[in-house]
Amino acid sequence: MKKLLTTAVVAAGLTATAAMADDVLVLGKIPYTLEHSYHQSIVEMFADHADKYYGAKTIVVDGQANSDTTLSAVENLIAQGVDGIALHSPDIGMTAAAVAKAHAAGIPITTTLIYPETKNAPHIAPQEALSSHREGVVAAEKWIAANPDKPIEIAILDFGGFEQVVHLRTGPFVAGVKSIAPDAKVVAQQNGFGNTVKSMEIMLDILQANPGVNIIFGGNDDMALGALAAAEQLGRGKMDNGVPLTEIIAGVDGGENAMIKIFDPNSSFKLTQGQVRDNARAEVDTLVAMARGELAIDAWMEIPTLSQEIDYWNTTLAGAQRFLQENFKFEGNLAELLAN
Amino acid sequence: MRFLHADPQKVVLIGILAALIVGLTFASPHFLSVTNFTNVLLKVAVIVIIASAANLLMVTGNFDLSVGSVLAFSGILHAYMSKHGVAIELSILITLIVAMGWGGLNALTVSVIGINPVIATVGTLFIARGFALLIARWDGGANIMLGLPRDFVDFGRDPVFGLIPLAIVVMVAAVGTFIFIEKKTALGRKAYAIGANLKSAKLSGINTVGIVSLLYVLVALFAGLSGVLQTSRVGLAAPTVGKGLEFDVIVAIILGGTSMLGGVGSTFGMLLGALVVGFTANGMVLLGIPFYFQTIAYGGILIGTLLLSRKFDAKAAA
Amino acid sequence: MNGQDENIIEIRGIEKSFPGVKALKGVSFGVKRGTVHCIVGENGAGKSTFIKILTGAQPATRGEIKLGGKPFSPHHVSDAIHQGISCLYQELNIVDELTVEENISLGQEKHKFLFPQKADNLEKAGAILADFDSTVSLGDRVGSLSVAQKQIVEITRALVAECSVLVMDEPTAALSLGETTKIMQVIERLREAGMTIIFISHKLSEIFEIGDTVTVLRDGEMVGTQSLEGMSQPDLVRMMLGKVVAEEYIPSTGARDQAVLEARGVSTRKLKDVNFDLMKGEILGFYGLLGAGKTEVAEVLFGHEYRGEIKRDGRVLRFRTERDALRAGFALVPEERREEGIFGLLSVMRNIPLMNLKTVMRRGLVSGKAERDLADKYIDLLQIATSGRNHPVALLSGGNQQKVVIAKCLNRDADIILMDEPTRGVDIGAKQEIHNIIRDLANKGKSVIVFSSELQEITGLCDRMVLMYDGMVRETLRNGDELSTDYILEVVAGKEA
Repeated sequence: MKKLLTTAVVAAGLTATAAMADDVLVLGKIPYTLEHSYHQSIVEMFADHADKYYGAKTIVVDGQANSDTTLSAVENLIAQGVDGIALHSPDIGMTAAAVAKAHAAGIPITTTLIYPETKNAPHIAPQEALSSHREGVVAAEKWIAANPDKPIEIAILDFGGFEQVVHLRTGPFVAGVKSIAPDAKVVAQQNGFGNTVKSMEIMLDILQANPGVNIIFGGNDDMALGALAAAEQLGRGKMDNGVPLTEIIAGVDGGENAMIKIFDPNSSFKLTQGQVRDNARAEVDTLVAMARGELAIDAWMEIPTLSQEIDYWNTTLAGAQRFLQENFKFEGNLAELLAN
Repeated sequence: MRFLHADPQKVVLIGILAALIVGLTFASPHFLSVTNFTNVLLKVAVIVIIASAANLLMVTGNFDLSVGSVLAFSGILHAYMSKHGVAIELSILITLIVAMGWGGLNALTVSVIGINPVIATVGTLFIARGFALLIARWDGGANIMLGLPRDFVDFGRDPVFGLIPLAIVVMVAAVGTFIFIEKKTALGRKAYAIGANLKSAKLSGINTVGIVSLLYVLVALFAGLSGVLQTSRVGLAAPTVGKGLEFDVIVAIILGGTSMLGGVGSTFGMLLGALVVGFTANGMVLLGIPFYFQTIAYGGILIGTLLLSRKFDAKAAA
Repeated sequence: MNGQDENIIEIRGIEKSFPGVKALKGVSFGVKRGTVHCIVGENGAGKSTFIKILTGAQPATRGEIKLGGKPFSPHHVSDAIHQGISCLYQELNIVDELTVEENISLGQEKHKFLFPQKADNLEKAGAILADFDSTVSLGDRVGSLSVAQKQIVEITRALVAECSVLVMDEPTAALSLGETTKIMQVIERLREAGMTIIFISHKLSEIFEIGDTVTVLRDGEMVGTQSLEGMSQPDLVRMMLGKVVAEEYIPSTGARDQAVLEARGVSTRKLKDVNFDLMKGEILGFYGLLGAGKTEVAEVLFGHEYRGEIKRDGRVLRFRTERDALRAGFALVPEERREEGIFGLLSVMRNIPLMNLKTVMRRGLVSGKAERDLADKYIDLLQIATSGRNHPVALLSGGNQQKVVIAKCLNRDADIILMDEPTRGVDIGAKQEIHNIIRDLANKGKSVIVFSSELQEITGLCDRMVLMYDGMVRETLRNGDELSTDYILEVVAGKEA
């Protein structure tokens, strides 16, 4: 019911009613879950791009972070006879099934982020691993420069064991840190459920058990923000005009909530990465190309997109402002918000 | 001795709690500290605040599955108003009144019209959650954080008397209030009577509809208050928080010895139940145990405690 | 047949202990095959416990039972049923949501691949049922049946189970005269067919009508087992109580000349033009067969809808809920005490003030001391047998539960007290005590309306009696010497006045 409501609201807001005129392309977009800002944004970017460049319509069906729901979303879109499906699948097995179904109906389909085993459809692959590694390197360098006497202890909040998250985010991040500080240790790794409140509660416990933690990586920004709130409650979470005092927190996604903290010189949340627009565009472009017969629908292809690393020390405020505008349709002014 | 005889469940819970505290003190050097106990209390605060009211509601034989959604809705509403220029105090007041409105809806459907609470309050669960998402959408994002005034967060984070976090103060007040209601007021006596025998209660002239309705409104009020406290403390209002909170609340209540059928239960027992869950979760994170095991342990504690107290019950009866 | 074979059941030294209480202190007797063996005793004498042991619902603490010469120690009820002992419990043990057929099949379904199969003896069930009450059919939903019809379904179920011993715990408590007679006839037939029946009833007339032998229990102890032949009713009562009970009509002492309640032309779907007056300090009885409309009159006086007019002290009453009725000075002791009267999970102390919490409130708060004092007062006043005021009411015997309900009602201090079957399922001693309480109330100026299906209760207790038939008031009689019970029975059986 609730989810139906969300879907209805988003679908009504973002797509023209599914008038299926034959000459108009109709694309289906299945986000992982509409509860996170990243996915809300990518859905908007997708619809915008499809409309602006191809005059195509978009139908959004929420995957609700659930394999069954996502698969039935695929079936739903197949039944509606869409011209292409952009799928963000929660798991590999489901991806294979969904791709097979779409292909059986002759409908182009793309996958993203969760790396498929059955390599028979184009895959949009944001290069998160590179940027995660870069986040680790920057964080370690900044910490050692400011606190050479305090050995690095890392705490990680993840989604509870997604292989893909290990490959793209937590693994490269830790490797990045260790490339600078080989003695760095991961002292705690817990499930933050991608959720700020839960992450805050768990980080309170982690910091209690491991007061020496000085680098925290959140598998998404919501978790990084929860970690920051926990640190703040314990009187930590601070920097002295960009100089690390208590810890350095890094996240993933790059939304405005994170950005405002990252560019606050006195907050310890300092790094993130993200890419929304290019992912959306790559999905749309690939689907349209297949729909027009320019690409084979069952050929494996990895389409890399850049996941931009952003941090307080190396990214300009103007760059961050542009990133937000491009990727999150940000309408405010970051500098003004920071001044408040 | 009378105490022991009176309630095996409480004895079991106190035993488990003592074992946990002693065990964890030895197992982790970080366990026995004011900060850590504060953390645990903060973690259970939301559950205990809501469960204080929900416990008496369950004593009447009713329950409310919409508390998590009402909490999320209230947090978002408070953040939205605060962000858009409403004074913090006024925003809290309005939020609490609207929260009571959700309770009123539950009261109307369950108590007045007589729809099964599972169905009726699940309806509210979905509607309130939908509106929470909608408000976040109106604000333009997945959640509300940017542009929250400074005193919004100060309200949740500034400790009372510079010592105790507000959420813990409210929790103690909620528990105290409901122990008082349970022991010393006509409302408490009547709630137990309704749960013990609805028909007898009606024939004895007890306003069953009014009392159950009042309790639904109180539960929603406390859920709203928890929403305000939580968003203020975290400094971010997300429409997705509090999912599954209804189960945490019910687990604390049932662990505490309250019967789902009504007529039996106590606020103090509920507090013990919540603390057992809270300390277990805390201990496992301190010991670095992966979360899968934490989930398993959560279920294990629930079933184990109930089995244990049943065994004690049987012994007492034999 | 020698003496050993004659006894189908041999009971030797049965004891049963509960925490703090010894419910049975060594019960031994034999039950002859093909007889109706009665068990009598006051409430709390141990009858219910004994039946539970005999039917497998509870294990005995000590002692042994032999059934047909073989040791018999059932682990649960179905065990006992399989070995041939079926029981009709006092409280209806029947599922309202199911049909008659499903209820009869319940617990004796045959299973095929785990799916229940219909019992193949439904034809037999249909025949037995038709024998009792031709208006009940196998497809009826039990919830739509009257109490008496439900009882009949239960009896049918036991008969279908082909038991050799049938235990009947107060089978007639909820039945009207006609139906009681019918069941007595059935018991007679069952005995002729060689069935052994263990019969428990508070109605001594029934014991003497149907029984061959009687075992008397008192306070968990065996008083004796005797043949009923040649025994007189006072003899039996003496065995049960250790004291003679004779209940004679004692008029209330008040003037009874001021009407506190006047009902004129009261009608509902069931009631037709009911008229009566209730005087201050009077005990007014409503008597009639089951379904004559007694319960409906009680309902109307406690907040049910009606047409017509009811005046209280001359003012027209209009109430829509029970609370309105309570506010207007009425209090009700309901017929179904377990379902509508007591709060079983709560203690005696918590039950008593619930109709009038003000009596335990001091400065707006519940006072523990006031609660304890109030409980002690009523435990003492009504002689409630409980191990303490913190004892849950559910664990008390039926008669003591009823006393708690009455205490709750007395504490309301209402001027008009409605008592629906105030002594149903209550032993003679407690019954007498309850009657004395009612008389006391009237003498203190309260007005009491007693609804009863027991004529002795009405004639022994009430100053005037309203005789009902088919939703109508047939006659209102003043109690006194010239009262003829035969005449009353004729009126309630439908004779035009």
